[in-house]
Amino acid sequence: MLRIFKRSLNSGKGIWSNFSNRSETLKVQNIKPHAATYHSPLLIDDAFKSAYEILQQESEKIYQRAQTVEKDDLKDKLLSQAESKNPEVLYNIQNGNDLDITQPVYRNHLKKQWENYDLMILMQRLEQFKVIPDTLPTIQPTVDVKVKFPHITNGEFNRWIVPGEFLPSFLTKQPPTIKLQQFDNYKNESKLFSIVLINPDEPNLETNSFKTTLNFGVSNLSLSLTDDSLDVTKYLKYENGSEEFSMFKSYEPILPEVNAGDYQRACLFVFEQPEKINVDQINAEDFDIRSFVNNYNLSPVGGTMWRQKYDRSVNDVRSEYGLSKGRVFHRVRKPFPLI
Amino acid sequence: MFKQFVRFKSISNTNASTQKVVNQLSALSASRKQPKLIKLSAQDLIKHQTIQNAWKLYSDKLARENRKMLKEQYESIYNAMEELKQFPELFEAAKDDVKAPFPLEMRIPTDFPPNQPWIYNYEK
Amino acid sequence: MNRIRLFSTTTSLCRAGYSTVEPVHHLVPIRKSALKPGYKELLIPKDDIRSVGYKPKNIQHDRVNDYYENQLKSDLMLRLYEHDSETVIGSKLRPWETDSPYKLYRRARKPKGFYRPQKDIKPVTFKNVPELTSISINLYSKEALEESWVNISTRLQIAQITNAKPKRIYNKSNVLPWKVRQGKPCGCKVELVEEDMTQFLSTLTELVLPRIRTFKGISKKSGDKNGNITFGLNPDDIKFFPEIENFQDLYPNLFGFHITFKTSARTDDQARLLLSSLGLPFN
Repeated sequence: MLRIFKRSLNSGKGIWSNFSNRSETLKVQNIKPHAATYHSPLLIDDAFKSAYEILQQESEKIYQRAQTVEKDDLKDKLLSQAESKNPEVLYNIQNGNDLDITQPVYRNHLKKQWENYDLMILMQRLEQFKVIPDTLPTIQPTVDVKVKFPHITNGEFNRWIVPGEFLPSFLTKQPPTIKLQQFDNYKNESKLFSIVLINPDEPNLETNSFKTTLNFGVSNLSLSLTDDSLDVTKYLKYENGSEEFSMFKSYEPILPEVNAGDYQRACLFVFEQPEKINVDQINAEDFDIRSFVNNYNLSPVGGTMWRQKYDRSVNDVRSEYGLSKGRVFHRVRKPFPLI
Repeated sequence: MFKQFVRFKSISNTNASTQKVVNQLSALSASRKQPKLIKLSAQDLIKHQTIQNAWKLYSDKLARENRKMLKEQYESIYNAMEELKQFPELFEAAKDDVKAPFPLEMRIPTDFPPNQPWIYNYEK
Repeated sequence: MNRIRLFSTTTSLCRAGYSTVEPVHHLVPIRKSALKPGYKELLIPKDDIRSVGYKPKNIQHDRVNDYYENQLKSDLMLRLYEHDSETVIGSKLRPWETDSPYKLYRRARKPKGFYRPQKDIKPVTFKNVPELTSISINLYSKEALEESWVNISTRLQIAQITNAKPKRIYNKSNVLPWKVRQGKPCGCKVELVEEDMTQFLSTLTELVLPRIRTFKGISKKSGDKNGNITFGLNPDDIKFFPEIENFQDLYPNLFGFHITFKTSARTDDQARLLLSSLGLPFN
C-alpha cells in the first residue's frame, strides 16, 4: 500500500514529480503505514491515479500562467493555487509535518489557520480587556506574534502563551522569545520592526489615576520569513556588542504591587518601520504610546497581551532586580465621599 | 458449550397488529438510516480528497462548456431574429409562440430501451 | 456619576445601571463557534468525508438531470424565447403622496390586486432557463388525528417511496367539528432535491402515472402563479409505487398525498412547459 502511494506520486513526468524548479519541501515526508487490520476501499488506487493526472495537468497550466504574471501578490496566489491540490502537499499539511514557510502554498495555509483561530482569539482578548482603546486606538494585525518565556523549560509554561491569560511573576522575570510570523512577505526580504511592552495600569497617585510604563523597547530589528524571532541568541549577540538591533529600554518585568488594581495588563505591540530610527528621550515611567507611534512614523502590525497580578514570587523578583520593596495600597476611609 | 444465563424471559404482550406498528417504527428510526462514519487511513483520506478535487474540476469544466454552448445558441437565435426583421411576414410568423406542451411521447433516454423501440402504427 | 476610571474608585461603582452594547474597535469578525473546542467536529463542512453529516453524492448516473442539461435546456430556451421582450414589472407596494404631513411616515399601501409585492417577470435567456428545483411532498392524514399510531405508517410510506426522512407536521389550530386539536401530529412532509428528486420524478412518470386508469393529467388550473405546480395522488394510486407494490401486505393502510413541483420558472405557463418536457401530462 505504502509503495503504491509513493510510486503513483513520483513516477510520472508531470510537474509534480519534477523537482528541478520546485522545492524539495513540497515532497511528502514520513508516510505513516496503515494499521495491520486496515483495508482500503476497493479500486481507490485506480481512481486516484487518473485523478492525480487530471489535477497535475491543471497545475501545469497554472504554473505557466504564473510565469506571465508580474504582480507579486497575484503570482504568489497562483503559485499557491498550483500546489494546493497536490496530494503530497495535502499530506504534509494534514499530518502535522514541518511546513516550509517560504513556499506560497504552505504560507497561505498557515495564514488561513491563523485567521481562523489565533487572530480571532487575539482580537477578542484585546477588545475584552479594553487594550485597544486604552493604548492604541485600533490595530489590524498582519503578523502573527507569539510569545514564550524560554528560561522555564519544563512544566505548564513551556509553550506559546495564549493572549489574555494570567502569568506568574517568576515566569516573566526574564525577557521573552518573540516570534513574528509574516504572511505577506512574498520574496523573503528582511524588514525592520520595533517592539514595545507596556503596562497601562501603573497607579498614579498624584492624579488619582493610572499611567503607562514602558517595560521593554526594541527597534531596528531586522526579520524575514525564515529568520523570524527575537530569541536568546539575539539577546546574547546584543550583549556581546555584535548588535543586530537597538534596545532603547532594557527588559524590566511587570511587578504588580499589592492591591494595585485587579490585574495589570502587559501589552506587547509590534510595529513595522519604514526606515531605521534612533529612539532617544523616552520617558519610561510615563510613556505615551500614541505619540511614540506618531513621532517615529510606525505602523502597528501585530501584538499580544497577558495579565499579571501580585503573587508570591513578586518579592523575590524585586530583590533580584535590586528594586525597593513594593508599595501596599489600602483603602483610606475619609469623612466625605470620594464622588 | 457456553450456555447463556437468562434471568427473565421477555414476554411480549403485543398482538400482531401492534407488533406491525412497532416494526414500522423501528424501520423509521435514525440508527438504521445513519451509516457508520468511514474511518479512512491518512493516505486513503488524501486519495479520497484528490479524487473529489479532480471530480469537481471535471464537473466545473463540463458546466462551463454547457453554459458557453447555451450562450452561443441564444446569441444565434437573437441574430436570426434580427435578420428576419428585413422580411416582416416571416418575422411575424417566427414571433408567434406555440402554446402546445411538449409531446408525451418524448421520453427520458434509458440504458435499456424497450424491445419494440418505435410503434409505427401508433394512434392516439 | 464620574465615568473616568480613577485609581481610588472600585469597579462596582463604575458599573453601568443599564445594559449597553459595547463598541468594537477592530475590523476582525469573530465567529465564536470556531473558538469553541466542542464544536470542532460539527464545523467540518458536510461535503468532507470526515464530517458526521457526510452524504456521498454522484453515486449513480442521474439520467433525468443529464437529459435536462443536454437536451431540454436548449429546447426550453428556444420555446420560451421572445424577441425584443422586456421585463414585466410586478405590482409593488405603493408609497403615499407627499401632499400631507400626516402621510409622511405612513406604511406603504398594498400593491394593486395583491396582498404582497409581486416579483418581476424577466425574459428567458441562457441565464434563467426554468429548471426543477425541488419536489415537495405533503401528506395530511385525518386518521392520524384519531389514532396517533397511524402517523407512523404515513411517515414510513413516504420514507419508502422517496428515500428521504420525512418530518412530522402538526395541527396549527383548534377546529372542534373536525376533531382538529392544536399541536397534534397530522401527517408528514418532505422536500426532495437533486438525486432523490430526479429518482422520484422518473418513478412517477414511468411507473406510477401510466398505470393509474383514472388519471387524465395534472389540471391546467393548478399553480400558484409563481411557477409551482401541485397535484394529488389518492390512496388507491399509491400501490403502483414499486416500493409498495411488492410488499402490499406490509402496508395495510395507504395514504394519499400532495406533490408540489417547485420550479425556477416565473409563470405557471413556463412551469407547465417544463414539466411537460419531463413527461408529466396536463389536461
